[in-house]
Formats: sequence, C-alpha cells, structure tokens
Amino acid sequence: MHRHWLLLGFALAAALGAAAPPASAAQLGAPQALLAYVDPGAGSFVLQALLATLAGAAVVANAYWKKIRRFFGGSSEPKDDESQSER
Amino acid sequence: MSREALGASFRDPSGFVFERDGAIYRQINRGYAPHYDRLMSSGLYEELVRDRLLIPHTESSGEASGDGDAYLTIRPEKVSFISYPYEWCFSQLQDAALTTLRAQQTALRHGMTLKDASVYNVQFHAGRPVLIDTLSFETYQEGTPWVAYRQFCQHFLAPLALMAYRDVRLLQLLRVHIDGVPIDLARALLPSRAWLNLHLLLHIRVHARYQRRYASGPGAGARPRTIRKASLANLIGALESAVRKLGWKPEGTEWADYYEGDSYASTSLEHKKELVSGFLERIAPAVLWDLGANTGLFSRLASERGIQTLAFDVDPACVERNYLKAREARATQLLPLLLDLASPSPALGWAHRERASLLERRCADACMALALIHHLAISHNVPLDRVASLFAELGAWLIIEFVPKSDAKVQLLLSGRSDVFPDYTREGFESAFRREFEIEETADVRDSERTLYLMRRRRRAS
Repeated sequence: MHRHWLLLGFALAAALGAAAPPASAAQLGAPQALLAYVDPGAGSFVLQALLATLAGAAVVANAYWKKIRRFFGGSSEPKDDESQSER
Repeated sequence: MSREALGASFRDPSGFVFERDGAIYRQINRGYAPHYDRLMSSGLYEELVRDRLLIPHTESSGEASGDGDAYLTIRPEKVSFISYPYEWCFSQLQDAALTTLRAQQTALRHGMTLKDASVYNVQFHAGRPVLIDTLSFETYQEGTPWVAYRQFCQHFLAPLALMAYRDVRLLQLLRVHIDGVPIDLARALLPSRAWLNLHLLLHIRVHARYQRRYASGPGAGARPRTIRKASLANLIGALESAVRKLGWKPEGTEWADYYEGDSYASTSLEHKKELVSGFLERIAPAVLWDLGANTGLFSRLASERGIQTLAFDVDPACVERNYLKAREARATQLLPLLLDLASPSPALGWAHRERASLLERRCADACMALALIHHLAISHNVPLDRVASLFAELGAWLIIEFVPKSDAKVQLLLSGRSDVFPDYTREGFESAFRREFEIEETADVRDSERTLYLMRRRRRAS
C-alpha cells in the first residue's frame, strides 16, 4: 500500500542525486553550532537540510494517505512495516 | 598538581577525562558551563538517566584536575570494561545507534542537541548501551542543523549497512578508520540491491555525491538557511527507521550451532558444567574472561553467580546469538564480545593512545578456555608455552580444557595437513603450563577424552 510513497521517494532521490542540486541547496550556508568541534561537512549539511524537509513531507503525506484510506473504508493501520520507511 | 587527560580525551574543548586513584573523573571547562547547567536544570539529565541513555554521575567538589580552565569536576559511574565497536556484533552496534538517536530526540525535546555522535561515546554498562560522554549535549539553537549528522552516518549507519548488505566482517573497517567508515567507501562497497533501500540510497549514495560536490565548501555567496526543529526531529526519526530496518541473521557458521550439533554427548556436557561450576565456586573471581565462549553456555554459569563475565568469541554469529540471549534475559553481568585471540585488538588512534589494546584493558581475576587450546595450538600453530604465557598475563586463575589428538575435533583440524605437533600431548601440555601455573585440580570429563584443569599463576607476569 505504501509503495506509492516509496516510489515517490525514489523519484525524489533520483532528482537529488542526478544533475545539479537545486539552487536553493547551493545557497545553504555553514552550520553555526556553538561548540561544534566535529566537522559537519559542507555536503553533509546541504543534504541534511534537504532530507529534513523531505522527511517532514513524508510524514504529512503519510497522514493524508491514512485519511484517504479511512475515507474509502480501508484499515487505518498499515499492514506492513513500510510506513516506517516513509518517515 | 595538574592531572593529565586520558589518551582518548582531547578532541572536545568542553572538558576532559582524568583518572585518580583508579576512579574516573570528567572536568567541565568554563566554556561549557552554560550547557552543563542547562543539561542539569532542564530535566534532560533526569530523563536520560531514567531511560538509561546516559551514564549517571555525581558532582565531585573534592576532586579537581588542577587545570585553570575548570568549572566543575564530575564523577561518572564507572563502566567496568571499555569495549570498542570493532569488538561488537551487529545488534550491539545497532542498539548503540538507537541509543544515540533516542538521546538526540530526548535532547531536542528539552531544547538541547547532541554535538557529536561518536560510536566510542557508547559503552555497554550493566548489559545496556549508554552514552558515557556527559559533555556531548549543547544548547539547541532554533534553525541549526544536527552538526553530528555526518558523524552518525560514518560511525553507525555505514558500518551497519555494510554488515547487513555485504559482509558482517566489514565491521573491522572501524579499526582502520578512526572517524567511522567514509561515506564514499561505503558507497563503493555496498551492492546495487542496497539502493533499493530508500534510506541507504539517500543517506549513503546521495550523501557521498553531495560530499564530493561540496568538497571545497558551501560555495561563495552562501547565506545561512535554517532547518526547523520539527524537520530536524523528522530527520532523526528517519535515521531511526533506517537503522531499525537493517538486519543480519546469525546463521550458517560452523560455531553458532556447536552445542546443538554432535560435539558433545549430553552426559559430558552436563559433567563439564558441574566441574566448571565447582571450580568457579572455589575461586570466586570478581571478573571472568571466557575465551572462546561460543554462545555463552559456560559464561552463564559465571554471570548467573553474579561474576562479571566477558564472553569472547571469534565468530560474529556466536557473539550475536550470545548478545541476543543476554539482552532478552536482561543480563547485567554478561558482555559478549568479538575477539580473535590470534590477533587481539591493537592500540589505535593518536599516538596509539585513543583506543587501548586488549592487553592494556585486562581486568580478569580468572580466565576460562574451554575447547580452545587445539584451535590455538593446531589451527594457529601457536606453541603451548606461548599460549600459557598469554593466559598468565591475562589472569591469576585459569580454567582450561585439554583436548587430546585422538578427539574427533582435533582429528578434523589435522586432516589434510601434516602433524607437526609432536608436543601436543597431555604431558606436553602440562609441562608447558607448569612453567607459568600450578595445577590445582584436574578432572576428566565423563564420556570423553577431554580433561579440565584448574590452574593458579605462579608469579605475576611482568
């Protein structure tokens, strides 16, 4: 059931990985933690910002998906553990 | 007099660890003071300690390092044995990763964040993984990213993925790479089917690509962008499911099914248990190292008596099974660990002082080596007197089983190779071990050709 989101995720992953990263990503600055003695890594930081947004979108999308399924009389509980992977 | 920081305690400017009279103390530097005060006053410390995610400590007014930058000295509960991730099984590393992520989620709820995600900050304490670095928490600033994201991927996610998708032995990459498995190396070593796992596709493959692209920094004209706290929590949640989804099944190895197989007649096994229990009763060690512990059948005779027991084995499947059983039973006195006695963990890191070698960490009153001697003497060609000297270095007492050449297991080791072990006899064994030990008790194991010995070290090893 949640394969739809998995497919959407892969499409986004392909978009992230292929060609140039979106312009907004290139504008991300360096992190500013107070006592950061660990190098966050520039690329890791840019990716993290995108993945944080993506993870948020997946949570929202998942909630809507459950509502739609409930509306059409489906079970509101996922049968497999794939909902976990969509977070 | 000023106290020096321990060898591994120098990277974080927030403070350092030092030792006095066998106790471990942690100095908190002035720069970290506001973060420490917040940790203690926000309720975060109580929650972390209640959930057994962080080592408890007491503030120690009487002890100071003598260093001028000190704000406070704390005395954390002592971890009885410091182990390293390259000595863990798959599930131990997975549990350590989940501990780190749970601590980060809890910290975010209290307005703080983990400023590092080093696998070496996690130790097994009374059977469970806990963070031992109290100074890892800093005040969270709205909008900032998780500064330790890259480190988490390198220290936890990459090695777990390699173990789950390629080979469990790739955990040993952590011995070579002190700051975790480089993301590009994990990307190169993972098989194509790993990319069907969306988490690995994003956190490893795409991650490696972004690291390469931004290798020279975020670029000119970059302006700070923010990550909302809720998004950050979602990212930590995603990492948690990434870690949970990975799995490794301990099967198909020769040793993991050892006791289920035909190696032992049940009468011999029961008799051997009785003999070992009797020896343990007599010597009552505080700490026992079981070398070649397999899945821990005999280690449990000790740990269930309240003896703190380290159960070492060379087979990752045995360590995994032993750990899963110990975790299920909530065993507090048993720690299964991975060890190749023929090449034990070396001293690693800066000046060889960050990660101690196995011998530097020796702490046993007694060692147990059951059904092990033939592997060392025959499979690894180690002369018996050298085996005896190593055991004498490790502990004052030794419970050891001699397995003669006529035993089926030894015959198997000798098949297909020439027998270059003329001294591998009961007499040869006893004379080699008498150089280091007094033989206190001897008992033949019923319905077998094997003999159990209780030995006591003659002199302190230099």
